[in-house]
Amino acid sequence: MGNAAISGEVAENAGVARRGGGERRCIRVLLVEDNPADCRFVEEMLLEYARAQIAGPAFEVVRAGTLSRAMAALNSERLDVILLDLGLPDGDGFDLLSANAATPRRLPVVILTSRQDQALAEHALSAGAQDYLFKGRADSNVLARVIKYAIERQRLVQELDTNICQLAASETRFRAMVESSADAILVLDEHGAVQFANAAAEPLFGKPRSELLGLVFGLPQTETGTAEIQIVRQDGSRIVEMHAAKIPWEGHTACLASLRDISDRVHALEALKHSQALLDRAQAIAHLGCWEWNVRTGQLRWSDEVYRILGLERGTSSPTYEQFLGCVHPDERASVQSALEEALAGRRPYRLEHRIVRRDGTERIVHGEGEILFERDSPVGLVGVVHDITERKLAERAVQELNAALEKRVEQRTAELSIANGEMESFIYSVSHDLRAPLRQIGGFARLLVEQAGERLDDSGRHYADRIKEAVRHMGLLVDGLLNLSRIGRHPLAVRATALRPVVVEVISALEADTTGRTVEWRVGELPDAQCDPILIHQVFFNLLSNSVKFTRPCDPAIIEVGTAGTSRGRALFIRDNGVGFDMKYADKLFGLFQRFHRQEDFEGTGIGLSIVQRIVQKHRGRVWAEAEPGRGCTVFFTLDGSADAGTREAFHGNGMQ
Amino acid sequence: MATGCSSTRACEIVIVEDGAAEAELAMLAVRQSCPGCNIVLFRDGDELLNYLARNPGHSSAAQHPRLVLLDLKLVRVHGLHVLGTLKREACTRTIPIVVVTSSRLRSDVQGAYDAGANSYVVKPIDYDEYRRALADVVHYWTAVNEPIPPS
Repeated sequence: MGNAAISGEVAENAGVARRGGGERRCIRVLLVEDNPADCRFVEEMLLEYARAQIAGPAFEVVRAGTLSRAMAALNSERLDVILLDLGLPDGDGFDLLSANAATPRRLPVVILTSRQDQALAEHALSAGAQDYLFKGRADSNVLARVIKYAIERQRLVQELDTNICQLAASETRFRAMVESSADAILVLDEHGAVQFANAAAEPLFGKPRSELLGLVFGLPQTETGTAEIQIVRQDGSRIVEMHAAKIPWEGHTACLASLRDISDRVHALEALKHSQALLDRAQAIAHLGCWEWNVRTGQLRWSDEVYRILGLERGTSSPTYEQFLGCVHPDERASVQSALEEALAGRRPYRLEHRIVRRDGTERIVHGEGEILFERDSPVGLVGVVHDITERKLAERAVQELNAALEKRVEQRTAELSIANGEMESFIYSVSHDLRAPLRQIGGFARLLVEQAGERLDDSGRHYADRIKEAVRHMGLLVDGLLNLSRIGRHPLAVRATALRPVVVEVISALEADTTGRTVEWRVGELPDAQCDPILIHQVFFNLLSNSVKFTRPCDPAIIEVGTAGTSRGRALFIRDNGVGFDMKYADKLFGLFQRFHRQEDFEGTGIGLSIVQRIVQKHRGRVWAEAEPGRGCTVFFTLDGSADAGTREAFHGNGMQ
Repeated sequence: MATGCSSTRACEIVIVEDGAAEAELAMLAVRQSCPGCNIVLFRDGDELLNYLARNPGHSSAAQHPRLVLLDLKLVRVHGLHVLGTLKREACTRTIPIVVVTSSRLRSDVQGAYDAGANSYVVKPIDYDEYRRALADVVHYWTAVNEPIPPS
C-alpha cells in the first residue's frame, strides 16, 4: 500500500516543517484512480512539491481504486480534496460528485482526465467540480496549485452559500417584522409611487396590496420626520401620523413611510378635550371650582375656576396651601384651618362658608366643601369644591332689605289706614248725627205744621205734607242702610260653627208682621252648620227673605224656599221665591249700591239690602249670585266657602235638598 | 200722652241743645208731654255749668232741675265733658241727666255711662217716634221717678 509510504513522507516533511519553527499544513487528498501508474505519478509529483516548497503545504494521499472504495473513504476519512478520474471500473465518477455534493462538507473536486475526455471534464465542472487537469501534462507545481486553488475556491463558494443563507434568513426576519407591524409601511420611489406596501397598509388604505403597488401618492412634504396627514376613505377619513425616512432602495433613494392610524386616539383626545372644556365652562358658569389636595405629597391642584374665584393667575408652579390660606379673609383663617384639619382627621366633612379677599381688595363669599381623598383605599388628603356664592348672598341680602323695606311700608300703610279708619269713624258720626238731625227737623216741622195749621190747609197742602213725611222716612232708611253697610265693612268677622236652620226660622218669624193677610208657604230644607259670623249671616237671611216677601206680594200663594243645591260653583245655599223676578240682563247690577229694578210705588226699597248681602258674603270669602226670570221668581245662591273649614264643607256636601 | 209733674214743687226741665231748630223741636215735644213744667234751654255746655254755679238755690237738691236732657255734640264743650263735670261735683251729682243724641257710636254710649249718665236715648228720625220717646223720658223722670226729698 502506497499509503503508508506517502504518509511517511508527509510525516518527514512535517518534521522539516516543524524545524522551520511552525506547524506545516498537511492536505489530505483522496485520489480516485484505477490506474496504479497514474497513482504513483501523482503521488511523486506531490512529494516533489513538498520537498521543493518548504513554505508550502504537505500532502497526504488516500488511494481509492474503485468508486465504492472512494465512497467509503468519503464517509470515513478526514479529507481536504478529491482528485477524481471519471473512468472507474465499478461505476461513474459523476456518482461520487453528486454523493460529495450531498455531504455537509462538500469537498473540492479536481477531475483527472485525458485530452480526449475534455468535454466530459467540462461537464463535471458544471456538476460541481472545481477544476480539471490533463493527466501527464501536469508538473508538481501545477498540480499543487490546482489542488490549493480548488480548496480555496470551494471554501469561498461555501462561505458564499453560508452568507446567502444568512442573508435569506435575515431577509425573512425583517420581512416578517415589516409584515407583522401594526403600522402601515410604504416605500415610495423618487416619483412618489408605491414600491412596497406591508399587510397593515391594506386596511389603512382600504385597498389590496396589488392595487396599492404602483399608485402615485406623491412624496410627503417633509421627506423625513413626522407629520400628521389625512386619508380619505369611502367609510370616512382617518387621521394618520406619518414618519418618513430616506432609505436606499434597489439602487435609488426612496422614501420609507410608516403610517399609524391615530384617528381613535385623536378622537378620544378631542373628546377628552371637549369634556374638559365643558367641565371648565360648567365650572365657570356655576362659579364652582374643584380642588384636590394630597397631603402626603403636598401637591395641591386647582381647576381654572378656583383661580378665577381667588382672583389669581395660573402660574408655572403648583398652588400651595399657604397660597390658599393667604386668600382667606384674615378673620376667618383660623376657622378655615381648623375645619380642614378636622376633615383631614376624618372627624367631620369639610363644609364651610367663608370670605375670600382678592389682591385688589374685593371680597367674595364662598362655600367650600370637601371629603377624604383616597389613593389605593388609603386616605391621602382632601378633594372638594369651592363655590362662589357672592351673587346669591347679595341677592339674599337684597331680598332681606326688600323685605325690611316692605315691612316698613306695610307699617306705614297700616298707620295710614288706621288714620283713614279714624276719618271714616268721624264721617259715620257725622252721617248718623248731622244728617239725621235735619231729617227729623224737616219731618217734625212738617208734622207740626199739619197739626197746628190743619184747618187752614186744603187737601193738596196735606198731600204735600204727606210727601215730605214719606221723603223723610225714605231718607231715614237710606241713612240707616248706609250706616249699616259701613258698620259691616268695619265689623270684624266673628266666625264660629253656626246652625243655619234656627237663624232662618228666627228671620221668618221676624218677617211675620210683613206677611199679615197674605198666604206665604215657607219651605225650609235641611240646612247645614256653617262656619260664619252668626250676626252677619242673620242679616243676610233677613235681607234676602224680606226681599222675597216683598217681591212675592202679588203672588197667592207666595212660595219661599230655603235650602242647599249643587251648582257649578259647588254646594251653595239658596233662597228661591215665585215672585216677580227680574230680567237676567240686569243681573250684573243686582248687587250694586242703590240699584233698584222696581218703582218705589210698586216695591219700596233703598237699593242697599243686596249690597249688604254681597259685602257680608265677600267677607266670608264666599260668592253670591242670582237667577231669575220676569214673572217667574228669583233664586239667590250664595256660598261661604272661604270661611268654612273642611269639616263644615263635608257637612255641607253631606246634606242635600229635602 | 201729656203728663203733669207729680209734685207741686217747681218742675224744671233743662234742655242742652246747640241747634236752634233741634232745640225748638225738643222744647215743643217736652212742652206737649209736660205742659206745667218750666223748660230752660241752654245752647252750650258752658251756659249750663254757669247757670248751675251762679244760682245758689241750686246747691240744695230740692232746687235742682228735675231733669237735664243733654245732647252730646255741642259747640265748644262736648256733652261728655259737661256730663263728667256735673257728675263729679257732689252738689250736682244727683241731678238726673239723660243723654239724648243721634249718635249710636259705641264710644259715645260707653263714654256717657262711664261719666254717670242716668239714661241714654237715641233720637229717632221720625218725629212722632221722637216725640213719643221724649214724652216717655219726661214722664218717667217727672212722674214715676222719686227724687231726693227736701231736707
